[in-house]
Amino acid sequence: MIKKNSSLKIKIVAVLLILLAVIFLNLGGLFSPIRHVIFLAIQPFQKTFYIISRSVSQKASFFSSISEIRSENEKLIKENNFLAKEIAGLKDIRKENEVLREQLVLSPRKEFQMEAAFVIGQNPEKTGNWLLIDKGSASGIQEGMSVVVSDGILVGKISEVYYSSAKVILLSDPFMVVNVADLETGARGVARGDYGLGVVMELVEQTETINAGDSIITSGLGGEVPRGLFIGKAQEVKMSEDKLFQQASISPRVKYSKLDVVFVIKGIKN
Amino acid sequence: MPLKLFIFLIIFLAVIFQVSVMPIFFPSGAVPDFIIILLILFTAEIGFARIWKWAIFLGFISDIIFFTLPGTSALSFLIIAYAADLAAKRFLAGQKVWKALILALIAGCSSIISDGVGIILAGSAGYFYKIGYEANFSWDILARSALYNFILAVIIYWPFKKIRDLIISRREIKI
Repeated sequence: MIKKNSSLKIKIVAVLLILLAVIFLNLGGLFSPIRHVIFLAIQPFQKTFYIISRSVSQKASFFSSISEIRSENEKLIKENNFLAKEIAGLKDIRKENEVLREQLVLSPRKEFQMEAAFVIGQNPEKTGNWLLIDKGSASGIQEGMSVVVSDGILVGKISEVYYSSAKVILLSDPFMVVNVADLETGARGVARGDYGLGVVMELVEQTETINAGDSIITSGLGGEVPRGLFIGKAQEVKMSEDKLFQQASISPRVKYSKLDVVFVIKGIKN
Repeated sequence: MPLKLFIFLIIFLAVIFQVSVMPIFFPSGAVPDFIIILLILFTAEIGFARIWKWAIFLGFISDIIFFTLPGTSALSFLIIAYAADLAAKRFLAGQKVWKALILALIAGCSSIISDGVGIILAGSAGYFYKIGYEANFSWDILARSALYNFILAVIIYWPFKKIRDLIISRREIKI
């Protein structure tokens, strides 16, 4: 019995050392082929589980939201009245100018060659923010491709591709960085994920103007992400910690946890 | 069905459930660890000596599917299984009425162990080669995660117990 316990302890210590070696030697690359095979095998199950769960979640949220409908209705009526006053107060030339700028800068959806994909998994851990989609290299998906939802709202980029699935790193991931610009003022900066809490527009020069409520879009700089994809509205604008730049928190237009279908931009149509 | 195949299926289904079902119903960062709860329930049942290899396998599968630093979950699951075994031997002996709550408490503490191991390892590993594994640590999220683990463990315990009793009565599985 004592011999058995000693033998087990020796095995456990050896395994612990091996595991630490795997971690610190960063042997993650060895697992890449295994990952490909595993994702190929489990993708149909993930898709089934996800679709059923989303359906149940939507039905459950309908019942839970009934109590909120009345207060939301009152809020919408007030907002509607305020907006009606605002529209009446706008000057015609200023309104026409905004519409023309929007048409020139925002990229219409029909310009892009897109692949629709279902979301089949999400990050259950506290590290990073990503989605799994049910399209991969077999559908022409490649690393670095931008991922949007139907209105041309950017949600992330393809970071890893497998045969029939792919990982989408979301805008709210701390390692997701996109070149952006303020639609109204032209101020340029970078949008970086804020550890799942949202997105922050950083490195905006002090000479630039950025206002709360401004629309933030992709600037197209660097060529990775097409120009004109909507990110969100600027919220609070403040100075960065080093006081050299401005930064603004951006309120994304989509709730990443509620996504069912996304579109991967594969290229631009001829 | 051969035993090992059965356990393989349980592991894969649990991991798929964790990535494709749990995040839909819980807020990001506070998703209960369904696989850790299963690991603790099995450890309490059959002991660390019989479960440790499966804990490592489960950890590697989790690392592969969750895109975390390979080896991290394997190490934390091994530690959790060992701690759960110690706690189960200490607190569950002779318990029948409070067994579910004690196991749920162990499950709640396990989320703290899991996050702690992940953060320490990732922090160390990140220093060496900037792997960029920066966890979004927050006491609030940790507390919520532990609470959800506790509640889920209580919910899962009784179906698990029923299945275990069914299997034992049929004497089909001897792990």
